Amino acid sequence: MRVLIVEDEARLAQNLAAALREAGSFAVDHAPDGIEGELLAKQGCYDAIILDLMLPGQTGQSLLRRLRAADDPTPVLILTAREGAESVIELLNAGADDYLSKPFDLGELMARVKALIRRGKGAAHPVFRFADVELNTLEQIVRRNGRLLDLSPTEYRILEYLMHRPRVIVSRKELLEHLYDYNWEHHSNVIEAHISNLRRKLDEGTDGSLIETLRHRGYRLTAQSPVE
Amino acid sequence: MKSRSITRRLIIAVLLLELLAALALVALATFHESSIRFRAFDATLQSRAATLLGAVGEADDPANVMLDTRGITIPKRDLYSVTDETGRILGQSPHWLKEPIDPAVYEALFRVKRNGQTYRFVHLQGTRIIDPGDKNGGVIHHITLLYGAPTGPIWHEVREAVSFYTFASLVLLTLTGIIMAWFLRRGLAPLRELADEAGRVSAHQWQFTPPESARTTRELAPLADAIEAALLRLQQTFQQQRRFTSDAAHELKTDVAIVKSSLQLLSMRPRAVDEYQEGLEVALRDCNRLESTVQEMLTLAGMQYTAHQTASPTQASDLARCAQEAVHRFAPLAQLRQINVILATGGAAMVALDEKESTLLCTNLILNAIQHSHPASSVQVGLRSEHGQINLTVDDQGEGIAANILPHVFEPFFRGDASRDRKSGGTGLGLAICKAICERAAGSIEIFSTLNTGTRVLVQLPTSAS
Repeated sequence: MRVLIVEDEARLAQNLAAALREAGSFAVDHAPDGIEGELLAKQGCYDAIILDLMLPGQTGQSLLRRLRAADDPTPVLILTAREGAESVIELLNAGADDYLSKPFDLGELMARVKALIRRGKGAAHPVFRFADVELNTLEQIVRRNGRLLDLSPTEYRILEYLMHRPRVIVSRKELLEHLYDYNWEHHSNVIEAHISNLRRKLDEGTDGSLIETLRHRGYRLTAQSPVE
Repeated sequence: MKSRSITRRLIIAVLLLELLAALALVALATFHESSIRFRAFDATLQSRAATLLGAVGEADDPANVMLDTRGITIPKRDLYSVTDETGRILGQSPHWLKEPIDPAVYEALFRVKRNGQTYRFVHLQGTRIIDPGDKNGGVIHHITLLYGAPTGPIWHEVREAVSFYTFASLVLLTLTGIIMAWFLRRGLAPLRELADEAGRVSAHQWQFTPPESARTTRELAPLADAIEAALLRLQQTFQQQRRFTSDAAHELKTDVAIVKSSLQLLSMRPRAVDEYQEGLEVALRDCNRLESTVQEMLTLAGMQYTAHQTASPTQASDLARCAQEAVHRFAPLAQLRQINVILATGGAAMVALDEKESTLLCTNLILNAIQHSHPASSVQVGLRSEHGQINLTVDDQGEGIAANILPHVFEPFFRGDASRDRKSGGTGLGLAICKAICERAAGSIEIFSTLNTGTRVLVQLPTSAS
């Protein structure tokens, strides 16, 4: 999953990004002002946006309004240092999905971001099940048939992304966009290599493949019975 | 404290005046009534005496005279005595005085007090000639007539008249008192309305519109205007304070959020010793910034608190020396950024600020200039003393400040744009503190700037006498 942080306070953004990368295996981008934030947000490759309100260039409220005016459904979590029910109501009415007051708890922030992403993709429970695969987004562990799989962070992220939308075809471009931030030097074949490893670990001891490859279109999870 | 009522005082004052007037009226009326009635009384007495004198006629004895009172009605309480020249009594009222009246008091009119009653007497003298056609010319009789009546009834009438005036005055006094109280209540209604309106003002409701009645009352209009102006000033100060508190809370929360997230990030999972060490150093740096934010806030709050009390004239410091020290202090930073700081001072420049404030002013302005300068440019610090005034100028060749931002740079926590945000290390309080310092020394601070060309800060302070 890929998250955008729009926050002018560089140290806070650094800490947020580090925590999201470390504990949530998120891809994270950072915009230090409202203008760059809007530019990045409109790329459409983020699964959630963490938005500060007091920003140079353009305020968080303005960015949020423009985003929603453009029919962008990306979940937005607002960070605010201002108290007051009025502003909270105003923010939620303007299209914010959640908000946190500074100073916040990093754990709570992560939990809220994860919940926002889940709900944004139509799932309520933090544990996903597909066929005999169980993916726990809280502990970031995957079991197949009760057997614990040893996945690399990237392999986990690919599987998590696919499991959020089972049976939907996900293109390689989409995977690249949602799993890597701009810090990453990505190569065109990096996804294929990870998919191949993931498939190997996932399908070990079974006959069919859970991840189906559709030429020139992408990948999808499939529960069809193994092909003879 | 004893409360005093303007209404009551006015009513009492007017009623007292009215009472004095009523007393004077009663006194005048008494005098006037008594003089008129006594004049009439005297005239009556005289006419009765004359009538009585006319009733003296020839007696049976041809040489004598007698009093014939037939056909004359004489009031019962009246006294009279008619005598002839020999002292023979021709006639006397039935209750004539037992003690004779001393002839020395005989005048045309006189008063005699007898039996506890005061009588007023008329003294008439007349002659009666018996047989005037006689060859001897007749017999001439000299008649003396005393006619008196008690003055009691007259005084009674006077008293009656006076008590009527007194009663009428008292009724008028009461009536005017009531009417005046009513008029005063009505007249003072604008004052009550003004008080009611002023009473509605609170920290949440600053709206104050003087009632029309108060504004159109000549005596109240200045009061209404004064209240309105005072409230406006208070509201501005209050809002300023509230904004400061809110901004301060925002800053502190952000700084605390940084420290907290740094520590939480560190404790998210077990780490190697050097990772912990590095993390703690970072957290400590974050803490230091929080500390400096708090310090600057307290400095500014202290300055603003004492801003209206101008610095005591005994305080004085040399701005030139402080500027030199500041330039010296930031020399390494300037060198690092390849900025040439040029200082031009002309001897000591004493200002009415203590050493700490002067230093703070110089360091803030010079550090700002260095931070916002382009690399390999120069910062010029000039200090001139003329006409009892010290001009401190700090010029940089930096990015400048946009015209729409310029008016706000002295507002606490104001950061114009991304280039002047927290990344530069400022809390947004530096210029606000400088302004408070300048105001303390009864001076001024101004900023002139052209975008992408540079900025000039001009500080003007009066020279300190000491």
